[in-house]
Amino acid sequence: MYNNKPYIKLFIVTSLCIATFLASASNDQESESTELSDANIAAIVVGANKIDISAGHIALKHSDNEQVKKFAKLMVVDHQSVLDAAVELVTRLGVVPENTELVDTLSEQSQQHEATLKTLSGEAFDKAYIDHEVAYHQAVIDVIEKQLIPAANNAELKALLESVLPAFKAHLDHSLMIQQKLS
Amino acid sequence: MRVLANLFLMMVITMFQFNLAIAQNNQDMVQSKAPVTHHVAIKNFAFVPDTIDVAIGDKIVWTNTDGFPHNIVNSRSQEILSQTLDKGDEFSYIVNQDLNYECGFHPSMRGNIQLSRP
Repeated sequence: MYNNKPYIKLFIVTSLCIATFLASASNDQESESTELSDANIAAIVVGANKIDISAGHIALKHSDNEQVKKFAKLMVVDHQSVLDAAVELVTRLGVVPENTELVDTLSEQSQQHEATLKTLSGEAFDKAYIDHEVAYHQAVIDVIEKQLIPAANNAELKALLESVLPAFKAHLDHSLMIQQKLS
Repeated sequence: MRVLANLFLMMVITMFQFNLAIAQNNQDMVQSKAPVTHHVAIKNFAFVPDTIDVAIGDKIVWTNTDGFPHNIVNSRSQEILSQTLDKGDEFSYIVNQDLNYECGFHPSMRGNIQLSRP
């Protein structure tokens, strides 16, 4: 029998790292939110959505749980919608996304998370994927509310951020519902 | 003879007034039972309003104003009632019972149609 326990442990540590990093980034820059440019915000929005789309594709391939697959499909569709809207907006505004430390860290941790997910199967995979989705959405909502919206200079970019928040909150509620059922 | 004629006239007038009252009452009853159309906006991942009081035969019209797909699913039976609603799409439903519903894509979005309007 395949032993998933070490990977679950690694996953939990990774998830906590993401949440802690995003939370600390949010707190550190709460009072200096103007430091983030619209180009930085665009890069964060694009990066954060790509990460969840990618994780969703992995879940669609690896999970056998219908609820988890349905959620993963939704993540792919909804985050692609946000991504498309963001790309359309920044293209129209002539904003070229500019990476920040946050994007680099998210990207690095996402790669670790995906590598971990690919080693898991069955219930261990479902739990790891959904637990991460809960932590990820909680952290991203926090960053959007406390960091990105206050820092956005362009009114349309600010409106886009405000309009995607309900979607992310619905995803968080949905992932919490599945998390409860899995446990 | 004149007395009889007066009596007859009074009876005719009374019957006319009685019929008029009945007709008015029937008209009021028809008006109170006329179906009403209720509009529910799907906005910011919520049904607005999320609870509505209706009567059997009323029409509910949902309009999706979000840039994300939503639909209407019976929470109890999980029957999918509407097609996928993209931004600007509408779905109409004639009420024939109480209905607790949700979005099939985003189950945290919930609404309630209750039969309480006379």
